[in-house]
Amino acid sequence: MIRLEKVSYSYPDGTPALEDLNLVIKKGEFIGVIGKNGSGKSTLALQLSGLLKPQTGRVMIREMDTRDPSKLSGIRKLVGIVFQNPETQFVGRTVEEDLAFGPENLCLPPVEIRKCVDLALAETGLEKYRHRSPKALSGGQGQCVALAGVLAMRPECLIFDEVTSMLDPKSGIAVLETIKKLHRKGKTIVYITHNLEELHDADRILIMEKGKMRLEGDPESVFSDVSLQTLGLSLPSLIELAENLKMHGIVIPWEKTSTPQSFAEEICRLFLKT
Amino acid sequence: MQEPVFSYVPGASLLHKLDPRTKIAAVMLLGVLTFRIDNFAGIVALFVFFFALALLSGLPMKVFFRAVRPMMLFIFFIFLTQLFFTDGRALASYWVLKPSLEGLEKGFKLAARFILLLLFAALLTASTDPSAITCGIERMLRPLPLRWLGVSSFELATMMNISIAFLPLLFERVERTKAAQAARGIDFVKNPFHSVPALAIPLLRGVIRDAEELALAMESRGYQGSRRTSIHELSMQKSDWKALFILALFIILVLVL
Amino acid sequence: MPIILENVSFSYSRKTPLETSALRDVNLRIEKGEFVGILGEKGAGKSTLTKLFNGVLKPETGTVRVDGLDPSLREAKRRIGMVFQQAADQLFCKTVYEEIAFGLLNFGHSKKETEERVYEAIEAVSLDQTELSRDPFSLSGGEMQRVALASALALRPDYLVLDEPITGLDPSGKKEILETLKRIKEKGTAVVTVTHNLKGFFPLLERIVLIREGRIAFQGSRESYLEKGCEPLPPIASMMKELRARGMPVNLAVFTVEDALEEILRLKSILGKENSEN
Repeated sequence: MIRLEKVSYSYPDGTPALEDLNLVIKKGEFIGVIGKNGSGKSTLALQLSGLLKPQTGRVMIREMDTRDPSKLSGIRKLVGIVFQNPETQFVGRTVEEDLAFGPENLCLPPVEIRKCVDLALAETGLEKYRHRSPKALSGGQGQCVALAGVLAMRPECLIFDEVTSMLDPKSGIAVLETIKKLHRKGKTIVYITHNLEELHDADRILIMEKGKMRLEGDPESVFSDVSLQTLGLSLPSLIELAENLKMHGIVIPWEKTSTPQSFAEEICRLFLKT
Repeated sequence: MQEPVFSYVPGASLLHKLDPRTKIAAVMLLGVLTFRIDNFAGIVALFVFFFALALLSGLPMKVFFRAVRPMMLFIFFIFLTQLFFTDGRALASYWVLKPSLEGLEKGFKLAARFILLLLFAALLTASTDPSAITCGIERMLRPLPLRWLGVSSFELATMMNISIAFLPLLFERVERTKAAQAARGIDFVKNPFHSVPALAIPLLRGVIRDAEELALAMESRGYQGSRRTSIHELSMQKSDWKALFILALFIILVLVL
Repeated sequence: MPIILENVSFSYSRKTPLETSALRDVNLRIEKGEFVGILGEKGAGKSTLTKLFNGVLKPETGTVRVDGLDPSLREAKRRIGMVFQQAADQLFCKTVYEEIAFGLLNFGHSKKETEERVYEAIEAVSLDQTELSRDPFSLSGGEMQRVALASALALRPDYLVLDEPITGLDPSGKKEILETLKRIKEKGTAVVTVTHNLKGFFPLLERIVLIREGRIAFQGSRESYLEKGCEPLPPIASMMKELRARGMPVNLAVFTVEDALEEILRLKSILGKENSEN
């Protein structure tokens, strides 16, 4: 679906953001990207969505080169991106108008725009807020509006750049659930975050440091990698607890560490079976 | 926070249902008319017409008066200058001030015109969704050769919409920075020169950052500043033509008066 | 003397159609030297509460007193240091030094005293002295937030009030700030923070104030917060609650991974004993 070939990019002041990065994202994948601030994650997000062009190398989105201006509309329809702060993504006075912005740019006729908007509202469960101002909604709902605004353009691939970092945990979980639902419906997801906890169910995790890929693999192997701490990332507390319990001979299987419920259930099962 | 002046009040009246272009054109025509007529009968007729429309809109009168209230001082000032600085038969004499009868008449007329203008504008904004207004303006501007000025009617409309959507965010930012700096002992009243950079610099940086983020979000959603469509279907209905016909009759009537 | 709020209510856009009630009948006491967490969902009234502390907002009814003083008085303002979520919203000087000195000069301290206090403040947030000449905007997120903390600390406040101080920072930035706050508290300054980040803050908090729809829904020690089954919870505490719900005799007052480990091992030995007795 998306292919990065030896992509390099430096900020205007000369600091490298990405260095010779190669990456292939397959259709229908859920990829987690994690790294400290300044590791190049956000630059990667902009490259993947064609908003930034590589200085060397190339980014191919379904065989369309992002440097080719004639492919721009095609790329916009295929890849959507949601950013960290919901408030600076709103362009409409009401939710409905905000969602219409993308389809309007695609020059769809009003009837088609309505269809796109209705569908996006349904997929994010925002129907009842249609005529409300997006600013009056809670942070989590606001981020869902931003997501719906992108969905209204019917993209196949969605990129999320730290979309939960400004939300309270409960709203963050709700937003992440909506994203997982979209993934199950076949959308390709690239999910960038600081928070390893959110990547428990990812197909693949990439860890970035200083513009390079440091670690890549499925969540279980990445989470248990000892170099994680040296990269300045903190383990989810349940995983940390599971690791500690292992040293005392209590083994909690990986799948059970995703939620407090499953974790507690597993402990009960282990302790009560004897 | 202030009361929302000139804000949209949703409703289902005939006035709400008219095409925004009809209403914009009507307000423009009535505005011109207000300043063309010079007799009290015309002004009274315009007030009557306004009240008829206001009743038709089904909105409470206070919505419209709210639009006039903040301007009242200004209107009163205009009235006074007319009253005192117009030559004519003196009503009385206070020191150097000599209010004249002609001045009184002129003052009343001018004040009435301003009030009418505000009332009609409030009628438009109260009965029309702001984005429908921008959409209407965009459609009306489309035939104009704006390209020579380096903008398109689409860009203008988007700019208007975004400004409306972005203003509250700006106010929030001002509040936040003000609170943060006040906590560092800044006194905005006593020491304005000292406090301006403390407020302006973080604000500017913040607004620029917000604008950059917004621009990226807009670009990612396919915005190119060129042709775009709109979710609002604008179509002139029978009732729009009827309304314009009635308006024309009214204008002729007032001009004849 | 503490910060005392008595029967405080507050609404925005008072006497207009947009009037929204933000706080209702809030009674709160914050003692010197404690570490208090203010929890609650967005729009619950947490930020409004912090703005009442330093007089940015005035209560509609009820009273706010800082050590017995009206919070809008200059002396009361000096006693309360405030730092908001985004340090970038308040930084504006060319160097870190000027930034920290700004508040001091506002309060009329001499050059010499200012210098002394800037060094003291920068040490309190463990920034290196070489950073003093840097442009604050060239710093990382965590460092910027520490400069903001230092500029508040330089005034030697008795209370440090924070609004989401670690939101938006990366894990190492979060850690820096949490450690700094812990040290500040140990030196005797009360820390009051609005936060969503329970995982980070729970090990530090001594008392919790939970706000729901403008009212105080809970107020007390974190132990009783957990025992009463309040929400939200950090993942570890949430797991212990699940264990208890499944009939396990565990202590709910668990704040860190180490606590949880200990508790589970204790549980194992209890159950092991029961099993062997049977």
